[in-house]
Amino acid sequence: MNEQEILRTELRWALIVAGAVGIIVAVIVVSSAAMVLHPPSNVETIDPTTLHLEGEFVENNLGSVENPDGTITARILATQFMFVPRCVVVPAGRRVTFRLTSPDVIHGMLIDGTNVNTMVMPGYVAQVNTTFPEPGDRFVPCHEYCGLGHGGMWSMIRVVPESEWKPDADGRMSCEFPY
Amino acid sequence: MRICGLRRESASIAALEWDERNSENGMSTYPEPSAAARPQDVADDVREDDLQHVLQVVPRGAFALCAIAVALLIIFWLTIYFGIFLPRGPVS
Amino acid sequence: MNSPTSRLVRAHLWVAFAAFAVAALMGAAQMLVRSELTAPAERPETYFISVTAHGTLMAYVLPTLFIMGFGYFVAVTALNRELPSMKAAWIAYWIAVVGIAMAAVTVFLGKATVLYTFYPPLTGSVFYYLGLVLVVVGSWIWCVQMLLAMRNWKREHPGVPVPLAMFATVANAVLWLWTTVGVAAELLFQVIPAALGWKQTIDVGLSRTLFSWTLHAIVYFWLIPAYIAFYTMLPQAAGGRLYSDTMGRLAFILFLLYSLPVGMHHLFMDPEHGSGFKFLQMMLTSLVTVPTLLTIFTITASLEIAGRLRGGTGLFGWIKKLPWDRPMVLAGGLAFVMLGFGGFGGLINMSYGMNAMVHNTSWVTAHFHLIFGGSVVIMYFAIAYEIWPKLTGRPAWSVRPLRYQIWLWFIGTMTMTLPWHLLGLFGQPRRVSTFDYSFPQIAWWGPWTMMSVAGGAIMFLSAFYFVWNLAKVFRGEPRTDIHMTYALAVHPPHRLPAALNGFALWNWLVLFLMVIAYAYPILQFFIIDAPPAMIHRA
Ligand code: HEM
Ligand SMILES: [Cu+2]
Ligand SMILES: [Cu+2]
Repeated sequence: MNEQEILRTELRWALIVAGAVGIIVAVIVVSSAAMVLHPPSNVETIDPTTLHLEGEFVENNLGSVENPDGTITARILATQFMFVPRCVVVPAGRRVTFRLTSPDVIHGMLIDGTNVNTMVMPGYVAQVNTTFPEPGDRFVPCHEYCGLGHGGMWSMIRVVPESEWKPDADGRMSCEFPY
Repeated sequence: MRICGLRRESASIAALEWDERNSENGMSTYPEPSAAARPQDVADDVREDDLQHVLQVVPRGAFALCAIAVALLIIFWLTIYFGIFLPRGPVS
Repeated sequence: MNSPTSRLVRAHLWVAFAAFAVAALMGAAQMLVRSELTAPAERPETYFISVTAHGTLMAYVLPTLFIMGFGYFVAVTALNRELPSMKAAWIAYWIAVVGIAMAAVTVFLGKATVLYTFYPPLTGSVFYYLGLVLVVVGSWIWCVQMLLAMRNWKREHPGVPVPLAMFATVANAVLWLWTTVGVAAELLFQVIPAALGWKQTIDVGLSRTLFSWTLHAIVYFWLIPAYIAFYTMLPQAAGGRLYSDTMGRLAFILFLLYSLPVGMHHLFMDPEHGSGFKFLQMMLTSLVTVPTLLTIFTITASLEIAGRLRGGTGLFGWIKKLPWDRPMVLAGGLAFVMLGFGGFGGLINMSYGMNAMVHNTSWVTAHFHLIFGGSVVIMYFAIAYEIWPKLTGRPAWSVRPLRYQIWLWFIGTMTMTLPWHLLGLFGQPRRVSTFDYSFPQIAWWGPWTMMSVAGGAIMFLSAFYFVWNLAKVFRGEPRTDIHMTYALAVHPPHRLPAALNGFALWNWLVLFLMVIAYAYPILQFFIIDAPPAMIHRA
């Protein structure tokens, strides 16, 4: 077998490789476009030094609230070393938009068993949209090292059935961290 | 000067020069890599006609083995994408 | 190999392996802390000091010093000429060693508990960062040596192909020069001024983006020695021939091209970048699988040659005819298995939206312990075993201990990473010192973490076995005729196009790709004017 023939076998293999990688990329591209699946990516800035004084992340505006169109917005502040509030309640089956930011260092947030995952960075509002298919209590750890207390930074999302979603007059509902 | 009808070509010039030096001495030993003192742990010599002989079959086995590996990779990936990722709900 | 070079190489490798042994001990302890069992001194502070040190030693010290030492070895043996400057090599070594000592002492004193990725605005003592800078400076001197060695050799051998092992080593040096630009800019312009107290605020979006510039390519810097062994040592050790030298060159060139403009796949979950560039870099990332998949085929074909030469027949019969008792062959085979599992994890990670399922969970730790800790480091072992007799003139008195050690590493890695993958998929975050196993949702994690503890312990044993082997097993009869031989290709090239024998063209292409991939993502921070974050001293 001469060098040309060897390179021909390599080329044949390269085509298989291209096909295999092509399948994966095609599935990603088509499903992302068709189902609007994207990594959370709204580039939105916010001043981390004035969060507690003004704007949407003041303390009494945190937690979940029902919007006029029936969707839910949940605002969470990630601080050293806890999420505020520690428990957030949302209804299953509705579109939920999480908005998070940090007044201090970089944190991360994920909701177990779901695709909700984002970095939370001072200076930026991280926004994640999702719909929870099923009710249940889900834990929410901070997933980026944020200092020595990082390991204790856990909170909870309580996904309730539609029938148990009973917001107050302002459209808000809250829950207690049970542990 | 080639000895024993073995044509040697070297990927490394170091080895080439070594080869020349030693063929001048009339020696044919090629510098062998070794992980241990015992000869059975040392790489074998390759005869050119043997090589041409096996190259009639190679790379059929490699092709099959690699194709199976890549196919498994794709199948596992598709399983996770459609079996776990998508059912966990949308993300954007 | 002459003794001054041998001393230089061994000095590098011993620092690398000493760091490795210390870090392995800490890794095993960390596993214990994370599990249901209680470890001694189980406090977050000790845990995070340990993880900072483990990450720094494993990711920065072990590979950098190993690659420098191995690079000198390749330059001298493959080119058969002296290094451009022994003096510069020793200066680089001492710069790196001082840097390592400085960083390590700072970490162990608890003054820089920022983890090896040191994401600001959390900052530690400036001595940690300066130590890292010194290591990088030392490695830059090494890069220059490799470039000069190749240039000088080419002048003396006009038109002759650079030996593949050296071509690949220089590819890695070029890659490393590009790679370190990102982190160097972050350290010099952002982090060090902040750590010194000259600045009170920092642009965290910019710092993460600059770090991502380095973060993927550095992985290929670590990996390339393993690929050098696949192409230039494994076929020889198996008793065969390298199937194609050209494909080897192509693979290393593709690594240089595609491992740089893809770092933003580490920022998929970051709020400071839009989906456009994330998508672009996902597409580019899919291309970086190509050189690996080509390598798998070329090397498997090379092994098939060896197996058939040894009498193997049938579609797969050649596999069992391979000389699995040789450490290099055994390590190569096991590395491929781990590369398969690790590569699978990597494919999941790179998949854009799906990254949300695993980002910053134990899945990721499992992924890189498989690829880097498993495949790459097992090849570091095999390379060390291969070149040790050449360095010392004394072969191993038996390969059996070498084989056992390699098997232990494989078994340990697989046992440790399997549960990590599973738990990561179900939300176990990485970088957490301990879990409250009374939390009902995570109670089931307990037994799985125990399995990881066992795997970690096996790896730890193997790590010390390795050091013991180097120190005690290479005590065979001294020999003077020990020569390094690299694998021959079936058709060794006699003439090559300039593009396959140098890097000028490829550097321009890297520049082009980096402008496309990173120009806007970096410049945007000077346009959008994000409010900076306050420095927090850890
Ligand atoms: C004895 C073998 C090893 C054990 C038991 C071990 C264990 C661990 C553990 C428990 C962690 C911390 C995980 C976390 O908190 O998220 C960790 C992190 C890490 N390990 Fe290992 N490891 C071992 C070997 C290696 C090797 C060989 C490498 C690479 C050459 C490596 C590189 C790393 C890196 C880069 C980190 C990340 C640190 C961070 O998240 O900041 N480890 N390892
Ligand atoms: Cu946090
Ligand atoms: Cu990467």
